[in-house]
Amino acid sequence: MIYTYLILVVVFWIIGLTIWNKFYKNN
Amino acid sequence: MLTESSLLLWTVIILLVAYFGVVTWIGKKGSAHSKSMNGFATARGKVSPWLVGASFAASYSSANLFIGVPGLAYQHGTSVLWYTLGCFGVSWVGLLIFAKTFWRYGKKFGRVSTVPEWLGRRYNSRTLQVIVSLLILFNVYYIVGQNVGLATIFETVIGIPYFWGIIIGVAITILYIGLGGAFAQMITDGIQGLFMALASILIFISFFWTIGGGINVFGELTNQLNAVDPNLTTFVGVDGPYNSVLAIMAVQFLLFSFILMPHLLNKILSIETEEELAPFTLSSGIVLFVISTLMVLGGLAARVLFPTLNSADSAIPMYVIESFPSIIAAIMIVGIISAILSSTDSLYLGVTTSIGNDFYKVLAPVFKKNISQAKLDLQSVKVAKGSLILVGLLSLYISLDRPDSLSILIQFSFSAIISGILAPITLGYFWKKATNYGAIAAVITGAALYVIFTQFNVIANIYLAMFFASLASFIVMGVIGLLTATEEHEELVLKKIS
Repeated sequence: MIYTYLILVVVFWIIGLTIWNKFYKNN
Repeated sequence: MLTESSLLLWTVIILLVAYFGVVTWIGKKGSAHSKSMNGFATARGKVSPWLVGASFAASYSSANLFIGVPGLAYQHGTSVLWYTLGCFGVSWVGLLIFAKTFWRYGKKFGRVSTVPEWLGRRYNSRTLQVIVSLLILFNVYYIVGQNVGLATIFETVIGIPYFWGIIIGVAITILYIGLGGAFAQMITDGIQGLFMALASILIFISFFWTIGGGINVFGELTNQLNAVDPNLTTFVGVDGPYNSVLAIMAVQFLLFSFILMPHLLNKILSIETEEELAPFTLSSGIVLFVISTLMVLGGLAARVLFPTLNSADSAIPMYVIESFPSIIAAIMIVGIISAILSSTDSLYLGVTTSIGNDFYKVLAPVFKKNISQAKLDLQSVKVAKGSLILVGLLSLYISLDRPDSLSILIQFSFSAIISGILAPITLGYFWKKATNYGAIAAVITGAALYVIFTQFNVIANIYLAMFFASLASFIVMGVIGLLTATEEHEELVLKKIS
């Protein structure tokens, strides 16, 4: 479960950065 | 010759005094700034957005995350990790989704400094503003949780009895807030967020020598937890609040909407320009990730190392003083104390600002017909500052009856607030037929149902209770909106959402 947790944390990083790139970066 | 424990104690005291000294110095620089209501509440435009982001993450992370949730992990094992996963992932995504529109509305309304005021403007309803400011009083229980966190640290580290720990905790909190004001808070909270990030990373690194196992340290931790009790390593908890997939989903729903907490949204309102939202949201994400996802693992490690603690909430203080040399442990303990203070100050500020800005300032003109605007603003700041002591004493009184779990108490308080304001804020974003009547009904329905569900044990799981109370609040707001919306209401929605 701990390793799953760490992988899911990385997955959320990717989701968050994708949204950030689309809506917040360079405007 | 100093013994280990007195070395720890004196280092903690010296560091705390130094920390308070820095806060006082920054507070003096900002004191001219907090004379007006707006300056008192948000310190707008005076602080770098990178630091505001760190301060958002620091205020987000309270005794709940540093003491309470590791305590739950100590009791219930790895299923608690779903909570901290949501604290970083779902909450950050929530911030990214909500921040821009909320900020744009704030801009459209001019200088709005609190959430009740935002709602009052969005729905053109002073009644709604006053009702939401009363709802924010639930935050007193949130503050109680912070007091309990401080007392637990003092008890574990220094051996002060719980009763005196509460008194000392409330006293240093009030002192800390009195020294600063919003300007000092924003800066010290930002610095404190970075400080806490360091402490979290130290906890993470320490597993290599406390648990061992080299690169497979978490495999080793899982094996050792399994040896203590196989129920501690399951994906879905066997007991505790995370004992069903539905409850875990409801936790994510709660944490997604958690960033709508008034003391956090106030941070967004202190951003000056739309361009600055980019560094603000990125910095929030980075700091939130470090300080919310790592500390909980210390609670799991504590279960392996000290399986018979009297109070599960003392897992982290115990882990810190047993795993690090005295000086490092003292720095981390002060880090955790300052982390608790950084949330508590935002909470006090949120509650007292609402009493001054949304309660007194709105209701006073009703009773005193010909009061001047300038005088009213000055009086509102006085009321806000005066209510600080009252809120502190009230929280002290409630804290004396020690809760079983600090986390559950804190999560009760913020769930009640969120159940009330979730529908009016989210529907207010984009729905033309969101009306003031619907919003008032939704606030009352959501908060009242949540309290009824939890207090009369209608729905035992606090997360499911919050989900169903919010759902009812959305339905009520939807139905009333459809029945009462007129063109006048539809004019209030933000036209351009690009």
